[in-house]
Formats: sequence, C-alpha cells, structure tokens
Amino acid sequence: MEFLKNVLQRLRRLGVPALGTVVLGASLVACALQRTGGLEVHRWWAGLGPVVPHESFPEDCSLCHVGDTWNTLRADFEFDHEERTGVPLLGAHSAAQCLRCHNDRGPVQTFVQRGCAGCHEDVHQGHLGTNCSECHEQNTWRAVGQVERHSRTRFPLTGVHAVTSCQRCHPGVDSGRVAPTSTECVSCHLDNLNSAVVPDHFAFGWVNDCGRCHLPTTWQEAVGF
Amino acid sequence: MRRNGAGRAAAAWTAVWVLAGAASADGATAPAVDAQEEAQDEVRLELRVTVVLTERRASVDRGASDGLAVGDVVWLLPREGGRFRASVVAVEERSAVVELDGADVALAAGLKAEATVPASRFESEDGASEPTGATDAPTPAANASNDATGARPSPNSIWRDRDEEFADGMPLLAGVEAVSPGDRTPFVRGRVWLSVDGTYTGQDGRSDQFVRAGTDVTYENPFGQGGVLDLGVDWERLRFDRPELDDLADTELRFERLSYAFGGTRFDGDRYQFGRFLQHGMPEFGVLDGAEWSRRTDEHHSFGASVGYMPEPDAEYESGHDFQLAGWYRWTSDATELAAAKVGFQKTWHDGAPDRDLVVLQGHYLPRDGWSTQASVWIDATGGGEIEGSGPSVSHAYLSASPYTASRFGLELNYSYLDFPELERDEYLPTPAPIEIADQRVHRLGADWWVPMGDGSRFTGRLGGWSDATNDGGDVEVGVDVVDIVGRGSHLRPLLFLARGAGTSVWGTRLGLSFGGEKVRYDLFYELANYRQNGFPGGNDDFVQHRLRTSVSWYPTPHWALTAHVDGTTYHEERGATAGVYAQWSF
Repeated sequence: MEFLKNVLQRLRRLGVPALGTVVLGASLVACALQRTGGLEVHRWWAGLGPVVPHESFPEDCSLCHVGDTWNTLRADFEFDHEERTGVPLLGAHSAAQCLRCHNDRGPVQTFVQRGCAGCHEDVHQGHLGTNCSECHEQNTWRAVGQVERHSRTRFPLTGVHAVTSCQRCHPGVDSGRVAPTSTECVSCHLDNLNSAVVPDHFAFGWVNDCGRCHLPTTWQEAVGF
Repeated sequence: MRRNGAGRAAAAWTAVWVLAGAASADGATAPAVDAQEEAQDEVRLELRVTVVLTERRASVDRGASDGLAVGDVVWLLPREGGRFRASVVAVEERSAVVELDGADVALAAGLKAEATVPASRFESEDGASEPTGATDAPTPAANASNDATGARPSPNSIWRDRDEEFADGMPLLAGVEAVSPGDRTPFVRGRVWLSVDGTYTGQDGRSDQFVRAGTDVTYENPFGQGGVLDLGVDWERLRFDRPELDDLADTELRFERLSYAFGGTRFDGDRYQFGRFLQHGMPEFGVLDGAEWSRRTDEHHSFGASVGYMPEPDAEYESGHDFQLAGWYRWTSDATELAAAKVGFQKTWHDGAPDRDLVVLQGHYLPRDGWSTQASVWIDATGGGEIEGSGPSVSHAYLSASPYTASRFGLELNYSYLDFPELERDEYLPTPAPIEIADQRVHRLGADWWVPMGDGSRFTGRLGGWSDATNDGGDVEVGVDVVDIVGRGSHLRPLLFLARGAGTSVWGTRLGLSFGGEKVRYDLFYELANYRQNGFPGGNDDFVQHRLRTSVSWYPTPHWALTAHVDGTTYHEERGATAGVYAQWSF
C-alpha cells in the first residue's frame, strides 16, 4: 500500500492526472471528428436492399405494393408473419407497420434478442428487468394483476391497501418509476399520524408499531383496547 | 427475376463466379486451378432458415429454382460456431424443408446455412445453364454460362470493366435499392388513450377517482431528412376523498416527450436527438431536457454523450434543478450482438452543487443454445454525504438468466439489489428517509418455470426470496395453465400461493379464466386468501380476503381497444369496489 501511495503522489506531482484528462479529452474529440464514411463503411447495412427481407416474397411486386414507389402497400395487404417467419405477432404487434420493426436502425434480429427494450423505450430505466409482458398486456400496454404480483414483495396488499391506487404509495409510477417504498406504516400514513390528536399520539409516543392498535384492513379504527 | 437480399445475391454470385471460372478460357481472372476443378462440378449455395417447423425441422429460403433437391446435404452454421449436418426432405420452387441428421443444434429463424449442389442442375438439355425447375426469368447462376458474353466483357469489347452484378437475361432494373429514411413518405403514427377509474370503500365513503388521458405521437420524416419527431403528453385528474383528512385533488398536464431525432440509421452512423426524451444510448440515465449524440463504429460498437437537465420523476416533471453530463461506450461481439457490454458515466449537479457520480455497467450474452444472460450494475460515488459518506458503492444491480430449452420447459432466474444512494435530487419517490438511506438494502431472488403438460397446457411455478436490513421473506406459487378448455384461445389458470412479507403472511388460491375471440375477450379472476398480520393479538391477526375481478375487452378494429373492468374486494368487515373503462385508438 505504501508503494502505491508513493506512486500516486509522484504521479500527482508530475501532473499526470491533468495530463491524463487532456489526453482523454483529446481522444474523445479525435473519436468524434473521425467520420465513419457512411455507405462505404457500413456496407453491411447499406447493401441489404429493402429493410424488410424480401427473399421469399412473390415476384409480382404489385401483389403488395401500389404506386410508383416502394412506400405504399395495397389496402388489402396481408402477411402471415407467424407462418412465414415463425415469429408470432401478439397483441398490438399484429397491426404494427412493417417498418416499425424492420427499419434502418439495425437488423431486426438484434432488436428481438434484446427483448422488449430492443424496440420499446424502457421507461423503467432498467430497474424492473426485461420481461415486460410479466406485468403489461400486449394490446394496450396496461399493467394488470399488480395486486396479485405484490404478494411477492415485502408488503402483500391486504384490506384497504388492495383497493388503493398504486400512485398513493409509489408517486413516481406515472413516469414509470416504481421504486420500493418503505414497509413502515408512517412512510405513507404520516398525515394520519400528524392528525391523530384524540388521543394525542405524539404525546403518548405512539409513533411506531401502529399494528399494536390499528388493523391494516381499516383506515382509522383502533382495536384491542 | 427480381433479386432481393444479400443472401440470395451472394449465393447467386457465388455460382456466377464458380461457373465463370469454369467457362473462362484465358484465366486472367479465374480462380486458382484447384478451385476451378472443384468448382466445375459443384455450386455452393448460401441459405437461411426462415421458419422453424419442429425441433429438428425447418424451412429454408432456397428451393428447386436454386438447385436444391431432396436428399441434398445442408450444413447449418450457427453463429456460435460449428457445422451441423441436415438433409433436404422436401423441396418447393423457392423453399425447402431440411431435417437435422444427428447433431443437436438450436434451430432458429435467420440461422445461416450452406449447401453444395451439382452444377449440372443448372444446365438445360441444350447445354445452356438454367436452374432446375425455374420457369421464370433467369437468375445470375442460370446465366453463368453466358458470362463470357454477359457479365464479363468480351475480348473484343471496348468496355474493360465488368458490369457489376448483372448478367444477360436479367431485368434491367434488377437491383432493388433501399429507400432511405429521407425518401420515405412522411407519416404519423401513435395512439390516444383515455382511462377513467373509480374506487369506493365501505367505510365513511372513502373514494378515489382518476381520469387520465394521453397521447403518444411519432411523426416520421417530417422535414424530408429522415428524422423522427416524438410527442408524449399525459393529462390526469386525481381526487382522493379522505374522511379523516383533507381531500386531495390534483390536475396535471405533463409533457413526457417532445424531441426530434435524426441519424442512427444504416445510412448514417451518427445519431442526434434533442428536446425532452429518454436517453437512447443509456436509458438508465433517465429523461433529459437537452441533447444526445451517439456514433456507431464500423465494428458495430457505439459510443455517445449527452448534456442537459433532468426532469424530476414525479407527476409534474419539473425541470431545471438537476443538470447532467454523461457519456457511454458500448462494445458488441459482432453484428448479431451475441455478446455486448456497456459502460456509462453520469455526473449530476443539483441546483449547481455536485450531486451524483454514477457509473452504470451493463452487458448481455444471448447465445441461441445456452443461457441468455443480462446484467446491470449501478455504482454510485456520492460526494461525501452526511449519511453514507463518500466512496463508491453499488446502489442497484439486476441479473436475469434463462436457458434455451427448445420449448422442453421454461426457466427464468432473476436477482436484484437496491441500496438507496444519498442524493439531493428526488430520484426515488417517495423520498427515502435518512434511516432508509443509511440502513435499507433489499436483495431479491426469484425463479419462474413451466413444464409442458401436453396440448399446450403447462405446469407453472415460482419460488422467490427477499432479504432487507431487518427481515427475510419469500413466496411460492404452483399452478397450471390449461389452454383451449372453453374454446380456442382460452386459458384457465388455477394456482396455490404462499408468501411471507415483512409484516404479513398470506396463503390462498387464485383462479383466472380468459376466453373469447379476436374481437371480444373476457377475463375472470378470483382470489381467496388468508392474511395473517404478524405481531397482532389473537383474533385480530387472521383475515380472509376475497377478490373478484371481471373485465371485457372489445377490439372492433385493429386500431381500437375498449376495456371495462369491475373489481370487488371484501376483507374483514369492509368492502371495496373499483370500476373503470379504458379506451385507446391507435393510428
């Protein structure tokens, strides 16, 4: 350890951290200025032709396309994605436009491998894992069955807690942030504690262990006296 | 014949070159002699698996017109390496079915393969080269024997350069060029939704009412540059009637997204985005009011940086307090991203004072035949707070792993860890108390599995456990998922469960039934459970709780979804009911 400290002190005296910062900064600038070369460099991407694979499609383009560009599909266009590719499109995916998944942003296989977050924004910012369909249904993306799922946590929802909006305990849920909430009653019921003056809970020091007198199935009624 | 796709073009041109070598007399551009001799008799085809039919059978994108015949040997080339032998068991004009001969390899759509077929299959009776069974316009392979007068310049021609990828007989407009994003017709897509819910409890008329409406709109190529304009707006009206306290009411209009992004396509490795958006390169760094730039390198790696303010993650999305700078680098093993690793660093300031130094490590390994694994680690180095002091510590971690089982069974393992960092920013809501920041940490471990029971039905189960600073607990679930029991597409899910929470233990049973068609779906759910409150005196510790939920969903068109639901809960001596409707129009 002593040796390491000495080395660090010497480096510090020599101004290595500052030098390192300059070198790192210059490297980043150099990287940023280095053009990738567009089509020539990304041959793999640019040489594929249409972003939707057409290898096994019929030769008659007019079976699917109308107009003088490749942009428009016939109104009666149909494609059995499961039969032709082996990949079923569930829920709202069945009505999605081809280019939603088969687009210029990368080969669809790599997106699929990453799971839902390959195509969809992970509004939970990586905190809740990758298996979105565990909570969300695939037609409207609503989360259903959360009360049942809550029994796997530290706080199974009983009584009034099972008929209370998620937002009351998880205020960040509107923006996709579902952080664990403390299981202590007061973390959500501080207002109730502050208003409990008959009897005065603070005067008696009744600020913890609410379960000694209150049931979790009701809001305010004390029992056991 | 219309030529589409690199695979077909590559296969065809392999044939062109092989046969061109055979036909070449001067040898100026011919392959080596050995290669010529080998190539004179055979043509190598590149294939891809398009549909997995069974565990050992798959359909490929080559057929009789490409020279394949029943009995041909096809070598499957998974990206993990190795060559696995399969045989052609059925052939159609443009596709074929192959079956694994022996070795066990995971068949998957997109799997590459190759086959070597006799060159004689491309020759017609008069000696002209022609694909077997092909009756339409010739392929490059079919025209390979015409190469001397077609793709290759005649010795007497004034043209010295070969007409790239073209042979006699091919349509003039054979090559299909990609339409770049900037050349596509601008279009708008998105959804509009409305949700109305009301909850009423039996005691003192306590109730909650929610009305929410929102829209997500994406406008692709609005300015002819191939960019994307994103808009996400939520409006909500909440009201909580509390007999013992003042009622709460709140109305919020929240712009969750308003951004413009361009680039990041196969035509341009640089991607730019500005406005309000969830960071694209590193979503772990959150929503940003600012700008982000990223670059994809030739080797499919990427890196980027972002700058801007971070809105607070609450209902108001107030911005202007938390400024951040961030950068990240992502490494990928190859174009298919079999393995990838990412490291990012975010520095934040809260009201001008340094707040958070966050390092996020993330990676995945997704083999087609093996354990798919994804992991993320958040490492916080806060600047010497009063509660936690200084120094790096892991504030969050997530790991999931799932093996490839070829549908023989399913298994998913998860682990997560959370330790609240000491921050000035309201990153976690509700804001953790100092004692939670100091002591609270939660480990969670879970395993979910299923085993097939025949006819698509499954035996399902789950085992989970958690541990925090003061308690331990966990849960067990076992059940079955029976399909098609009351009509096609129906699901019946009875299960038993047992769980131990920090202050409550619960055991009971659940029964779920989902049935209906594509237009209308019905869902019924019932739960009967006994909740035991730990530490309560006898007589007040056990409560039986019934929950019943019904819903009907109507999908009149692929773009409309309407759902109505009613939930009822009885517990102890109380009653609670929730009713609501949800409507969504997608466009």
